[in-house]
Amino acid sequence: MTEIVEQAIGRSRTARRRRKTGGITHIAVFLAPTVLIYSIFSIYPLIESLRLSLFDGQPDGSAVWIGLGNYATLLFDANWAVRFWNALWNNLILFFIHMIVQNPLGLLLAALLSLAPRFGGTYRTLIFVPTLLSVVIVGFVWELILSPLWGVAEGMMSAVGLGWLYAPWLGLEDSALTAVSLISVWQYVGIPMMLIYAALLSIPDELLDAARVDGLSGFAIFWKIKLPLILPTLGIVAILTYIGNFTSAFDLIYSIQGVLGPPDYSTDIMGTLMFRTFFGQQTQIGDIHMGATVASMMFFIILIGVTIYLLGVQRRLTRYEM
Amino acid sequence: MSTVDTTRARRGRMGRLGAAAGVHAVLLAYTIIAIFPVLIVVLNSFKNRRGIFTEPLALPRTETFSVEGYATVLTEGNFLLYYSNSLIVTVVSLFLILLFGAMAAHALSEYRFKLNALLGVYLILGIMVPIRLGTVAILQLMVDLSLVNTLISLILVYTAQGLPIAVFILTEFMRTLSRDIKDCARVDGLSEYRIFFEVVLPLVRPVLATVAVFSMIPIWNDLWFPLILASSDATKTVTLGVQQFIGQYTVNWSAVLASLSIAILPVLVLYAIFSRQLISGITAGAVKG
Amino acid sequence: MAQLVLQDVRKRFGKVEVIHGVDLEVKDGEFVVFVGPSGCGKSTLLRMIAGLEEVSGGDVVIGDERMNEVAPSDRGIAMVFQSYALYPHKDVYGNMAFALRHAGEDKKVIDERVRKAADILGLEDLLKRRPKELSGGQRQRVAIGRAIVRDPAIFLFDEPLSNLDAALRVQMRVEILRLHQRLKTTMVYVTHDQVEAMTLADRIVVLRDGRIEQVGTPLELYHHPKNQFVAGFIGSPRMNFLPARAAGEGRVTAAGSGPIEMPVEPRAEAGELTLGIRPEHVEMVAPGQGTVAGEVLVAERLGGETFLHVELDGKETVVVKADGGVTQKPADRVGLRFPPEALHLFGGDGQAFARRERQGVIA
Repeated sequence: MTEIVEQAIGRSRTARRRRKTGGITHIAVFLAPTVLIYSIFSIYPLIESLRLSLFDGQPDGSAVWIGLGNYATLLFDANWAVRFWNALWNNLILFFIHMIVQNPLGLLLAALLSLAPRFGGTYRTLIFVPTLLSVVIVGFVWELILSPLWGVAEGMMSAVGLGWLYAPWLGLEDSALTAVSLISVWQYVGIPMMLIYAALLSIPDELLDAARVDGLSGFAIFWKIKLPLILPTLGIVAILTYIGNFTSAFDLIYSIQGVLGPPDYSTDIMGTLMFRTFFGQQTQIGDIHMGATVASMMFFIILIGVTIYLLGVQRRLTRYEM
Repeated sequence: MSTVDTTRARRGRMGRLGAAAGVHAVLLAYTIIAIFPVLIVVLNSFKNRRGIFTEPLALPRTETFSVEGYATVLTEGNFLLYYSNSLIVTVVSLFLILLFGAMAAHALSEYRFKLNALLGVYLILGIMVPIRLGTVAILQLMVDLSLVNTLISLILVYTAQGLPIAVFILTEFMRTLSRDIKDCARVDGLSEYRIFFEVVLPLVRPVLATVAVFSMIPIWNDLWFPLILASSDATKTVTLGVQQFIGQYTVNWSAVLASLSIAILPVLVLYAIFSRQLISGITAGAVKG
Repeated sequence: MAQLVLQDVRKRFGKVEVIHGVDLEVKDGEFVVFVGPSGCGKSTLLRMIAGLEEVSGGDVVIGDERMNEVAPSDRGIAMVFQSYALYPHKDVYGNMAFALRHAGEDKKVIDERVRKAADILGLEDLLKRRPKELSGGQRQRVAIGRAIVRDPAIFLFDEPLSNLDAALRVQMRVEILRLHQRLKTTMVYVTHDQVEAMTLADRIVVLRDGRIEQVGTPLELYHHPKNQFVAGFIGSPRMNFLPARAAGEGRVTAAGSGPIEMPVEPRAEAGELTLGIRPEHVEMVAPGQGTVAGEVLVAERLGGETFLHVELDGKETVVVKADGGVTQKPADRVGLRFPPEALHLFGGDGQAFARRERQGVIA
């Protein structure tokens, strides 16, 4: 026995070189492109923005370390603070409207679709159309439809006797933000609908059969079985809605209302504030340090939301093996 | 056999019919809300000014039919170029996202190494934090690299933006692949690279489609980065092109509606062709993610 | 407790009929097993009894009430599913109490019944656990407990053991039998495993392609299969089939054998005949003796018994169940004796010739 092993060892020493197992070169090669591109164009800019927010630009182009000075300006300087809090408040309203309109609507549509009605596929396909369109296009389409000039919305409402309710909502301070939010709901409701629909489909049929044998009606099955089981998905939808607020909402408002968030800043959100601060507009010179400060504030606000979700919400929403 | 069942039975059948009607009523109503605005814009783009204003809800008739809007758009705008810009940016970004993302996901799911878990968390950060927050520094970086007003700048940013979610979904999926098939390839003497390209990639093809769908929509529709990084005439994407065209032609309703339709129609045509894959892709991705 | 009657029950999916008129009476307290290959309609039939599938034609009667349009929960049935179908968001107690709570049953009554069921199944210590913290066998017990708690007139089981490993399956089989002995409730049980069917059933219903092939006690099916399908389906390893020819005077020849006297009632039959014999009835004898001869291809040794696959000179293969200690190896020649009283004969249409009762072989 030992002889055989010794001979084998001897042979392998003298044999031509063989490929060896192990090594990590290939791991590095597989990871390098992703890590490099991601680090350079996503993580580095983020850190650099945080760094820039700690400096103040000088007329000669140099920058001076001022610690949290920019944050103090943003939060407490009368001119800045009013815009910051207004934008943040508008963002929260936007989020709130999505949470009470978009996500329940998505849940309703998904629940109905999961009953597998006839033409369910067609409904699903058509309801998802707005989600595919560019926010810019969606913005203009609705601007035209709601426009008093064209009068499509007004005409249609008059036709059903609701003409007196019509107002140029996008132009009125009281209603502009709600109108923009609802347009955004119209565009994006397909996403929660799809996510929830998929979650509902993943509930095994036998479980629903068992509930029927246990005497539950369709409605009770939804409340007592389906809803508890898709809570984790609803949590994901909520956090996606929160993050989306600080990103895609800009495109919509920028294309409908422009960068000032009119009328009178009633649709100004963090995204437009950041864009304006960074690039400037008529009455204001662009300031990369303040722009970076606004961006960093958004970063912290998102971080707070995500943390609340991860620690508070997600932990309680157990994912059930099904 | 008794007859107690009859009332119960009748109520059951009526209830079912009523419920089905209710389901269809709600779905149909919302479907109309979803596509009506799109329809009305496309319809009116084929009318003259008179037709647009006097009867916005009617189909184009012989007296109101007109393609003057499209004529303006095609002569004044540069939409063919914008389209090719959008297409280049989207296709190249998608290719890089899928290739690099799959490579990284393969490394994370297949090999055990020291930084594995840490790298996973590092990449997930990118899902949580929008890349736009780094815009200030991205612009500086692109200026330093002389990439402003190039499509490359957009491609790099979109690739960085799309990679985290791609890696996340692909890693989850690759973890479910059987080890045996890869080990079998190893026994057959394939290198780790060939195992990835010849064994793993074909197996994850359906998921790649899902990731492509996920990543494509935000790239094609983005306004922010084209506006900031590549707003020159030669590098405008469709989204930005339409936005600026409409800004210039606000009073020419035919032209505005036509330019909107031009931006919408290709998307709708592609969607009509690929909707089945797209929707099942999103559904599958959602189940996994 | 109740009887169950199916009368010309049919199921159509669109234009395709998958259950073609099933008639069956299950007596109160009886344990009936539906068995058949996958796709034979046994699960569909069970789901129609449960009310989970609509009945396209015929009647489902439970007790003395026609149940065709009655909701599952009002039929007095409880069902145990293949995947257990436990509610993942409820603990064991919550799962078992769920139906009663939903029905608005008194808390005390619920508690009493859940604890009693838990006691029967040995689940007392697991009541606070979630399904994902349970092993397969424990989940299975909870699923059964959930059914017991409802105190149903009929238990329905849909392949309840097929997700368990072999050892656990045997153990749960015994537990279900004991449960039936204890509760004496009507049970209808679906499986594709003929061993489960044989061991559990008072009566077995063999289904194929949406039709009942035969109904009978396990031993009736074993000894008097009505046709070649049932003969092949019941028994393991399956019955050997050999093409045969009539040799006159109630005798046949098969696989190069001489005329064999058949223990069957004669009947006019024009087509090809098939001779059937179970592996456990074939006797090994010295080469040259017995009914036929052949060469051992494979010997599967299980310890207590050995399955020999013997290639006959006519090239057909016969499986022989022999003693664990047999010494025959592949390539050895052997003789096989077919005891006449153990033979089955099938006509060209697959229908069995009626067998005569003989000295103690037939129960």
